[in-house]
Amino acid sequence: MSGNPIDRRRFLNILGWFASLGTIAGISWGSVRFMIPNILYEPPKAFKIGKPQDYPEGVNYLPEKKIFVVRRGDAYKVVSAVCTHMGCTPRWVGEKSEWECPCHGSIFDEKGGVVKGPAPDPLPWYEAKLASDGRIFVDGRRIVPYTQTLTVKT
Amino acid sequence: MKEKWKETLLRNRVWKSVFRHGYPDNERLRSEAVTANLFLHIQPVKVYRETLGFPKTLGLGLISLSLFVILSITGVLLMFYYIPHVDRAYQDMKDLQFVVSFGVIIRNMHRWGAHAMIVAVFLHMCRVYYTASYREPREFNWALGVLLLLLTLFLSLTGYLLPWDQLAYWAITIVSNLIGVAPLVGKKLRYVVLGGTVVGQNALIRFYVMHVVVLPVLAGLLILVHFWRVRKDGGLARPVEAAEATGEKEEEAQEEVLKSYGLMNLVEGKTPHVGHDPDRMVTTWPHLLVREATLFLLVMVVIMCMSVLFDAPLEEMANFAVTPNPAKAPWYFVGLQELLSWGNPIWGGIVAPMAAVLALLLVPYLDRGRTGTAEWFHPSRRRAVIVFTAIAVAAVALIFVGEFMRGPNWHLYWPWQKWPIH
Repeated sequence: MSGNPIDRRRFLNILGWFASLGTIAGISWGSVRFMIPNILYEPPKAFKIGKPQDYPEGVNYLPEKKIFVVRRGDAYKVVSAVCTHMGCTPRWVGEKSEWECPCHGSIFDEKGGVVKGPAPDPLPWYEAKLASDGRIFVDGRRIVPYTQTLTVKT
Repeated sequence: MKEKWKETLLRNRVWKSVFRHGYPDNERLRSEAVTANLFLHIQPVKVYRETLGFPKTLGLGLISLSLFVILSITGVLLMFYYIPHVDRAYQDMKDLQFVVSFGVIIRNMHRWGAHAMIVAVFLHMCRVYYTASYREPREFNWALGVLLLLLTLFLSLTGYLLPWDQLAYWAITIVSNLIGVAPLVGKKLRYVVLGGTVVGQNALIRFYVMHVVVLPVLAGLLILVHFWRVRKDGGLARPVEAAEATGEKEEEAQEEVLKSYGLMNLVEGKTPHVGHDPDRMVTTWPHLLVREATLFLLVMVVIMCMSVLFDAPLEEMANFAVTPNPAKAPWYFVGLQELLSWGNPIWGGIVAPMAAVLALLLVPYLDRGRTGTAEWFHPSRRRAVIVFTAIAVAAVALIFVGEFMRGPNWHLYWPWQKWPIH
């Protein structure tokens, strides 16, 4: 050993460690990243549904879209049908005017607010617009307050 | 006549080329039969007679292994017919049930075996706890056991989705959202586990790969290490009192771990001491092996009878639009679901189970007791026994309430009470 703080052997040793650990770290990171999909073939979050007059007065469940279309006269609202707790589909109980979730017993009032736990958040209301072809366009990416409605004179 | 057959069968060149020794009918050959065999030599040549008794262990570890073997074999068989695709999976299950010869029995064995394994592994843990067999030098092996319990649960869970029926779909939906509740990483983790945001094709193939490759290989490796450590830690735990009675001190009891395995090998440490040990030991071949084989056959018979008598459930095909009411997680997670229905999911879903696992891992390091090792419910361990029993009973009670007392909309019902028709 010379007086150098880092002689050739030690330098190569450190270099070797960095190379080995770097390789392992790189492969590990790549493997983890590999597991995160970049493209999904899932149902779109924004979509068109039927025309306003297709939906009768009251709460209509659209199972293939997992939403409820709530109609009160000329006013239309769209609310998520996915419980904010564990993702089950709450049922509309007309006589009590509330949604009840079958999985853990959460109850939401007609405004989507949590009446009884364990759901942590209210059911989100989605933006609804009238598309040019007369159908309702629902954008699940845009959460709107309960007061916002789509009014269509029929 | 018999001798002549034995001669022809066991003393020819082919036999000798395979086994190197004749039929093990004396002590030396019996040792060789174990040491010379890759599969047998994870076991010692000799075992203590007192650890062979059924009441000491109830055979629960071996029952768990037997079930793992049964599950591996039936699982591979099922893979020949099952295709993990959302359009095919459910149809393949139907085929297994109605078309494939013995398909329904193989599937039933796989399902009942999985349930039984969870029970067996859990009871095995209880046995080791109640007999304080996790104490030094076996602490690490207890930790391995806890990991194996978790792996068993994950194996069952990943398999639960594969039939792609309503039961599977909604149980996994609930459990996947449970993951999403975890602070900071929850959402990301859920995305990786499902390979997306909903339980769909990506989730199915991911669960399948985990279920048939990743987790079984991991579990198999850990099982091997678990057994290896049983042997390296000095075999099954024995009462210290018994060791002292024959003049051994505890340190010596550990030293003897170092000796003996290759009987003729020179080892470092103490020279093998003679006299008392051999008297209390019997050869693994045949005394231990015959017990193992018997228990394995017994387990297989029980699972087979169950599979002939009871069919595994298969509900309607998975329908993401219709949540069954009530929708329940697999029974071993329904206690967690019950806990979750009480309020904040962080506590019920994350903190409580994490605390339970951590507490379990720490058990052998927290226990400073010296008395009562390898004895059931030793009086000096009363407090430890009560605490563990309370937690175990609470876990079972949660499962019972969730499974048998929750009806539509998760309302409480008595198990014998009829649910309202809606």
